[in-house]
Amino acid sequence: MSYLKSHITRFIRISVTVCVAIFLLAYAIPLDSDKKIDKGVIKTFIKDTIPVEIDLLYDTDSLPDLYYSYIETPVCEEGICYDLKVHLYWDLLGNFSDYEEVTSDPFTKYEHELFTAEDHHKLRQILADKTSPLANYKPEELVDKSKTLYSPLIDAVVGATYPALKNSVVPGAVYSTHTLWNIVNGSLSTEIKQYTIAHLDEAGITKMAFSKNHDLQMYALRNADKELEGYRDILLQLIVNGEKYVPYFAIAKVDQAMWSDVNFQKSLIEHIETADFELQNEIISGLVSVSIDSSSLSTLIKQHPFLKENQYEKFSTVLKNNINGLDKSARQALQKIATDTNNTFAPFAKQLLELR
Amino acid sequence: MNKRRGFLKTLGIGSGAVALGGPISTLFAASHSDFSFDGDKKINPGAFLAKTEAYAKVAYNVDVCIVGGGMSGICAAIAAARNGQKVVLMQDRSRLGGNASSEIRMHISGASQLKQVWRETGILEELVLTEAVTNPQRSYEMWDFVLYDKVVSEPNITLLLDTAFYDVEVNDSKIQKVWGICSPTEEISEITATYFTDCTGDGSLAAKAGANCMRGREAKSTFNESLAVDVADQKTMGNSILFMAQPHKEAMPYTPPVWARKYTTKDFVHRNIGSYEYGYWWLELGGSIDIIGDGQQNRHDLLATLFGVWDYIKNSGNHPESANWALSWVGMIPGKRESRRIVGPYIMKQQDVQAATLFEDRVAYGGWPLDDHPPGGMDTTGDVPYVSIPLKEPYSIPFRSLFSDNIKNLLFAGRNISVSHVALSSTRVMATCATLGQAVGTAAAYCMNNNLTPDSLVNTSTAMSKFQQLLLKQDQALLGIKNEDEDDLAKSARVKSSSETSDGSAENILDGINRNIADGKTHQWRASLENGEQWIELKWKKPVRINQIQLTFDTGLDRFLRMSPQDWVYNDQVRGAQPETIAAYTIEAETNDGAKKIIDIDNNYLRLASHSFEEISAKSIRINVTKSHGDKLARLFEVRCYLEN
Repeated sequence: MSYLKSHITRFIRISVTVCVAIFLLAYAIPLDSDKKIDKGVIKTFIKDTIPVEIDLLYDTDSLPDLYYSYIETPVCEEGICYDLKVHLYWDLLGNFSDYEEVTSDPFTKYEHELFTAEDHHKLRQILADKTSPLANYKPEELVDKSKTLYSPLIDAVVGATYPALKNSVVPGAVYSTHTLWNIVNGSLSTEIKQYTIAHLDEAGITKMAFSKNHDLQMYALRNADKELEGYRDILLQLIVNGEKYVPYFAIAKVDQAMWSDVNFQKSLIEHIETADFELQNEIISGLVSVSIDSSSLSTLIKQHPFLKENQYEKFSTVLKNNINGLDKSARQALQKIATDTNNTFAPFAKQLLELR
Repeated sequence: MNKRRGFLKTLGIGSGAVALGGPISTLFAASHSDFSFDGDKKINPGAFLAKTEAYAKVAYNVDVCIVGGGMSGICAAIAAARNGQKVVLMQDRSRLGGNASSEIRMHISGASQLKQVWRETGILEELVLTEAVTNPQRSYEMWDFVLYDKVVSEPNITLLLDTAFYDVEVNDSKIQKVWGICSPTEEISEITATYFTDCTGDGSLAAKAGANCMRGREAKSTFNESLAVDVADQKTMGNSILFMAQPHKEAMPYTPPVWARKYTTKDFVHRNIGSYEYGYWWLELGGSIDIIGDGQQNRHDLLATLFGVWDYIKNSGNHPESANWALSWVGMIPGKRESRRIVGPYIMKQQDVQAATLFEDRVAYGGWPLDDHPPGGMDTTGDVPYVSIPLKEPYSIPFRSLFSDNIKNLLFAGRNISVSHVALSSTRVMATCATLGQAVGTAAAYCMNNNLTPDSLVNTSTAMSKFQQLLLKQDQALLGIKNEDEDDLAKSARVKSSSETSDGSAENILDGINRNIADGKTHQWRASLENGEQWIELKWKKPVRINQIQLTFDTGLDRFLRMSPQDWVYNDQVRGAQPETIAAYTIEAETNDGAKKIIDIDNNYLRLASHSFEEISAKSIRINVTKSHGDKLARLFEVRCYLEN
């Protein structure tokens, strides 16, 4: 009786999944006729015999955005074989962007189990990890044949994943994970990157800088032409809106001329309010030996509530080095702080006022 | 001999003075017995025998000469000495330990990294247990003296400190002699030996002797390694200099030297500064230069990097908690990871590490990940400082990777062994190196004692099996070898005990396995000490004549155990004696003359206890355990009994 029940539950589960998949499918595959597609920009092979065609998808701004390919390849999970079918998406530098299953043929684990939402989440993490050990282990090597589980479905014992490598695969889908990872991050990734680099122009680089993808941003930072007019905008964008560690690489490229530029200074000073602690320190360090425009000095003084006490000393040095640039309103602002007993910056403000 | 007036060296009067080997005091004793000291007699100035000639030659004639006194050289020397060989150990500095010494302070890493059960055994385990027990203050310099003590306590070892190897004589593809120079004593040591072992790390002896060597990074196509570079080059992993710092009560400002490098936040996005008491392994340079020849420049560049990093920590504003910290020690010797690799009949590669090939001539094992560092180091802070591929299990290292394929009497251990660059990224760590030292030291002795050469040892499977049995008996870290020693009289005994746990049967002490090998079984006798003393007994049908009993205890090999300047490294360690280890025990033998207590130990902390005594005829022996170092159970992996010549 419970046997039947489990089948019914499974049927309901599959039906729901299929319905959701159909719903998503309507929004998944790029059928948007407004966006340009260059079909088959790369024609190549995987596993020596499987032909692959990669399309270049453009964004609404008519600039290259993503690469896409539909791939079918056989995979065997411990003797149970099936055709893995997947829609794959890469970013412009060949990094994993996303995948979509084919509704009628979703990925399965051994014993024909479907991937759970957690499995999909894990798979996306693994595919995005270029340092995964999957690059350097054959799928058979991931499974310890001496530690076995009995599978009633195939009526055989199957190996268990080595504990040290468990986190590198979706449980029960060792071969699917391995196959997909190598398709996504193998030769196709390299060819995509080469294609992009060969066809990249200034507009493309600018688009990379203004994307939310830290890999694209880093590429833009390293390859943007310093002589071109848009360079400072790119640099500023990467400092203010860079992902992860991009702002720190970007701010390291700011030269004396830029630090001294009125508008550039202003933007960085305004950014102190929302910048991370380390970036605030970088901005303050950069301003220490630079002459700052008067109106920016007033703005700078207004930034002090967004700093920690251990930053006051250096912050104060910046103001000290620009003491002659303080206008009336700036001095009034400092006066107000100096007399505010609740303000921890007060002693520093007092010292600065006594300097003149 | 009255030693109140201290040492006055009398050796080296003219060339040709021959020393037979032994610690410094016996060398001295062997020289001039008619020397007058203060005390009873006044010193006779006429009899004062200072050398007139600087850099006179002192000749040594020994069985095994080991060049290099790091972890590999130390273990090689001790292994050879304990197997009856006369040994010279040559070290170019004043302290032993190499990268592990107080002069460099790199961690002794190895198979514990697998976080399974594979901490290395043998001589290394003896050294680290001794340090853990005798150095609760965690003083690095005292660790140096654990090593020094172990070496000078071996009567068969002549230790030549501050003696730099510089030349070699080779004849007919065999090394005849090596020379080393000691400037503090103005001596040139000339060592003739049957076997020479290159534990220099740089393969300097091998290179000078004309042995085939490798250097740099092989291409993928050379050994079919997925982790290799596409195109071969001469680059290597870099060197690191480490530091230590301490917190103080007040703020400690820091001004770097003018030649220090300048760093900003971007240089540390891939390099974590987690704490300040110890430096960072990623403070690395040298992979892109001649890491041997350009060593002086490399050292200076590393110091410029180190002071630049400390300047960043102290003055960037990003580490306000470092305000009260100040540098207390800065290394002056770069810790090296890679330079030359000497070619043996077999070159281990990536696949041997990952697939854990069970070589027939396996003599040691490794377990560190394949941990390669890109050559740029701190010159390329935009790149990650390492790529680490985790391993599933430990892997074996073959003897054919430990002796030269063209110089017949040259063995080697440490990082300069016969491996590809990729395989080196795992084998290079010091715990592995230490076990390689024990392997080659034992091998040299075994060849000498059995009229073999390294080549014939490898090619005679019965000899190799016996050699592996010897290694196992001496607790070498080995995979897949069981006790099949025909001379072990314990194997013919029957075992019983006062009690045993369900998974710790008394018979386990004779099951041939002396540690946990992660197969679900304990391989040890276990008995609860909660109700008092426990005993285990071996009984023979007919009395056996024995003069040696060997016990193997449990020292918690599933944990890390190593010296460190870093606080968090101690989080998963137990300092002092390991709780699982039996502390107090006696051994009684049932002889024709009744019961005899032959052994009484009350403070054991080592893993291997080897007891030699006057020969007896025993019907049975009983091991009485009274105390552990904290564990509720008495645990014993193995008992062996021998009649040694």
